[in-house]
Amino acid sequence: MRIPCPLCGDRPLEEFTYRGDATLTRPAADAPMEAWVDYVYLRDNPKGPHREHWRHAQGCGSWLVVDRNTVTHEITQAIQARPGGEVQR
Amino acid sequence: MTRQTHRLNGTGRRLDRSKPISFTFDGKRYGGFEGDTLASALLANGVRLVARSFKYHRPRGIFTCDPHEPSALVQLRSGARQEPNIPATMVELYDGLEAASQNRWPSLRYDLLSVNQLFSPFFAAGFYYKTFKWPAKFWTGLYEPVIRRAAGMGRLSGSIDPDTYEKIHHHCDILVIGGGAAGISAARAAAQSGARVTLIEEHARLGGFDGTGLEQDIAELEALVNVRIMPRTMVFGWYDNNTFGAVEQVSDHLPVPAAHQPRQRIWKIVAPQVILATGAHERSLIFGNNDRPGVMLASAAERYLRDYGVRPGSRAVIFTTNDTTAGLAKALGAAGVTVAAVADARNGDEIETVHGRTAVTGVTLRQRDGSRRTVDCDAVCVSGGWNPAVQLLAQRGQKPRWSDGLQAFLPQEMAGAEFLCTGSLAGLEDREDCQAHGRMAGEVAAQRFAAPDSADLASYHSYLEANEARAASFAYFETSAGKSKKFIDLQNDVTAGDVSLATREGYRSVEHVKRYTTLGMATDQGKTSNIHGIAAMSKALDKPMDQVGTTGFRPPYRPVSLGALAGRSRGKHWRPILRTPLHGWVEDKGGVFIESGLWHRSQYFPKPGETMSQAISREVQAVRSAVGFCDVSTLGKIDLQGPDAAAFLDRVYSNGFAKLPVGKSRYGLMLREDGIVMDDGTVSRLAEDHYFITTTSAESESVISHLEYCHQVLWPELDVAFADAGEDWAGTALAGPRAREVLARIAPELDVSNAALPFLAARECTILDGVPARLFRISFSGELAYEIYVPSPYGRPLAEALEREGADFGITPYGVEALDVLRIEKGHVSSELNKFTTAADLGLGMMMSKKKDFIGRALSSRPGLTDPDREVVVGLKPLDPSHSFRQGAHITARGAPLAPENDDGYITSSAWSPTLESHIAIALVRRGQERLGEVVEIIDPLHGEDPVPATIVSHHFYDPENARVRS
Repeated sequence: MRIPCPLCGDRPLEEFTYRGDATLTRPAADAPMEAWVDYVYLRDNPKGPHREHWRHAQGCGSWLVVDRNTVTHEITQAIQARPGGEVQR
Repeated sequence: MTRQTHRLNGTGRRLDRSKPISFTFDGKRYGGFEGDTLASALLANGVRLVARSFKYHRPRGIFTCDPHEPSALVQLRSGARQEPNIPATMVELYDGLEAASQNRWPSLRYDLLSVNQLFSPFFAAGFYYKTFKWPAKFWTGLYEPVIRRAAGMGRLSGSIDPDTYEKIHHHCDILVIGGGAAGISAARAAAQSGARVTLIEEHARLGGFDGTGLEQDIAELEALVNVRIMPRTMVFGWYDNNTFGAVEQVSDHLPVPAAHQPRQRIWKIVAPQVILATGAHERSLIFGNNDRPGVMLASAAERYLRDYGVRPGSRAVIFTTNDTTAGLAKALGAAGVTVAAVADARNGDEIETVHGRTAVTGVTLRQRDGSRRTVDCDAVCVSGGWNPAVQLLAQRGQKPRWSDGLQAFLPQEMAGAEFLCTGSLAGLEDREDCQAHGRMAGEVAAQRFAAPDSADLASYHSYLEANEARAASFAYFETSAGKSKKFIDLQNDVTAGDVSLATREGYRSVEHVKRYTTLGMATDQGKTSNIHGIAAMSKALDKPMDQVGTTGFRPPYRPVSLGALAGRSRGKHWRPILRTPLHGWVEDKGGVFIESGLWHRSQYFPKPGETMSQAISREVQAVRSAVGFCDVSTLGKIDLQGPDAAAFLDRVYSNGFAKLPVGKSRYGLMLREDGIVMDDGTVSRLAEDHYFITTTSAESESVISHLEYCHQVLWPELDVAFADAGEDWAGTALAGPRAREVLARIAPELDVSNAALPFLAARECTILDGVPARLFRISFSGELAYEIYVPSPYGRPLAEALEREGADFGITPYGVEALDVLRIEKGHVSSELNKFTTAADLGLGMMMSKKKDFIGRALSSRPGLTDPDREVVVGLKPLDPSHSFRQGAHITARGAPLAPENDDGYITSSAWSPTLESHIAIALVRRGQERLGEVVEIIDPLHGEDPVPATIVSHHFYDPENARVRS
């Protein structure tokens, strides 16, 4: 599998570390406990398209938002997680 | 040397008869020629019996001419280069080659374990599950060793492999897998566009099943500069993004690799377009005693005749279902071999059973009218048709498609966006068809490479469809009668009866039958036989072939040696060593190193005649009474800058940093979002918007990654930037009551007085003769102490200066063992940060700010993490100071029975304290802080030690008032 890092180009899987679901939002400080439990522990396990956080750990160090199909491993988009840093390929 | 009784004159296009070769098999010397394989040379010498089977120890011969040979597995070479389980068909002969048969005792001809055949009713499908269930302790003690000895294959040498293996990357435009007629044509056509083409072939030469007449094509291909041909290379895996794994047998055909050459090389190949021309594997047929030496595939017999000038016997019987054996009958005749009978299943003729034990002596034929006759012969040539080699495609998740016309599993899709199929993989049989279609595939691939959507695949597809429509559609797999054992899987000794039994016992899925019977689970992965298992299931379950389906295929296509996969990553290259800037100095001082993660850290500095514990105690006492210094360069270091740096720190640390003044350091605690402690360290404010962070050595990488996540993903609005400065700075801790006097000498320009440089002061300054330094008055030891950081190249000069300038004060270098003793005496947590503990567990509850939000705040208030019953940090002192504790030992209330529910915690750190003249420990104990003064028992049933009575005390054993660090 290769991931198109917006800064470094197509790079092999071995250079990246995986974190998981990129669609979660960290709850507000005063959010109820349930919101925090959801945020930290509960995950869907989608078959098909998934939006994920990857870090180009052995490269530029960027955290990326990667749209990956969990069945085919097809990657349709990889952008930098930080706003404004979205270098599209 | 024996005479090559089965060698023909004249034929044998692979041979160089001017170069005779001698080799040994089971210690006996034989002759062959350059160009022979071990299999062809053994056959030429009339050697039939070459192996014993896996389970029943039945005599076996050479069955194929292919890499997936199921029977003739041998052990090669001797000494450290001994290599087991190599198919004799793939061994290129060299002078002096040593080979030996496997799985027999005392000899191949008289194998005592062949009595297993008599017990074959017990070895039927699923015999492991049925026979060796009870009692459980017999499994590891008796059954497994016995079975392993009986069913073993070859033996490893037990010595270190003297050869090297390497890995290499390769990029090309069009990859062609398989160098037969179709692959050669495809590569030539593709290369005409100018694209960079790579052609991979697992055999030593191109040409495929029948290379005669292709010499000119091959020569022309080899002359093209944009074509790379890789013989002796096997593609074992097809991975995402058209990435392929292949292994090249660089030196396996040589006695020893040439100088500076590896034995094998792993290729990682990336190609935007790939043409699969992987060919087809000939099938066997299922009849009684079809495993006897002398029974071989018809294609193999033909290739041994044509390529190696070897006749399979003097009288042959051919058993076939198709036309591909027509050439064989002629070739046998031309070679002077009598074709005693041709049993063509299409005419209703079949072989019922084979006679002979260690070699074929005859067959019983069963004719269409049911009559039987016995025919004497010494060779049986079998063809049950061809299985397209769909394995690589199936690795990509394609379920092969059953073709009634071709009576074979074909690729589900003959073309995808990035691949094309051609040759006998695509169901083609004739050379001319393979060449014509190969050309089409090559042209399409070239067009697609130039412009992905431009290619026209109409004729490419219609050619294959027409071929399939023409096919004869004749189905035959297994003889209809006879009582002898009929083998489906020769390598794993699975019979037709085993598959039938499995279906009678209720197995319906091909995957389950595979695992229950072990059909197709041997190293050949059932390439000649799986189809017969599927056919047998189809018959028994009365389901069509496509509904039974094939099992899944995973990499590798053929076995790959572990040495090749490891490549250079062995010995010291297994993982890199991290050395601190002081490493050389520690070596010169005679320091002992200890591995800590990837680091080699100085453990202690023994003086002549000192034991390890004496050295550690001396180092500890020097720090407590005078001064010592220690290499702390392994700590993680992060340089953090920006106007929002303070706000950022406030969010990632549990304690507050907004009010930390410039010129001060503070201990910081970092939590995970689930409320568990992640790391601890120090944060020093060097300027209004500039901080220097240290992390623990072990977590430096993960803390950086975490901070990057917080910054890039959670709070990109904060204006901060940070850099991993871990390798930029060498660090030493200078500790002891006389540390200030030493510091004054190495930093003469600095006011080091307690008033000017108080506890937790942080300074950027210059030391020695103008070396820039960062200086923090931080103490891990509990003494007056400083951490001094200098740019890495100055690490060694700093150590030398401390040693020189501290000599008057008795300065002593100390290692991580003394460091650990000092911090245990002081009660600083370290190994207690074990990914299970909260700040409160560690006695650091006051570091949980209530005035701000931070990572881990919300979930640290969960009931489970605030349960008063939790294990918290305490100290332990044995009633008898000489009683030691082992890290990991458990704690129970005195007199409590030894039971899991009485487990009150465990020891996380322990040491002999020379300061307290007692063994001491830090432990996590249930409600420990409420139990100070209680005498408990330390138990260690794992090591079988007697319980040690100990008192729960504060873990701040030494200077609990914290006076010394401020002195």
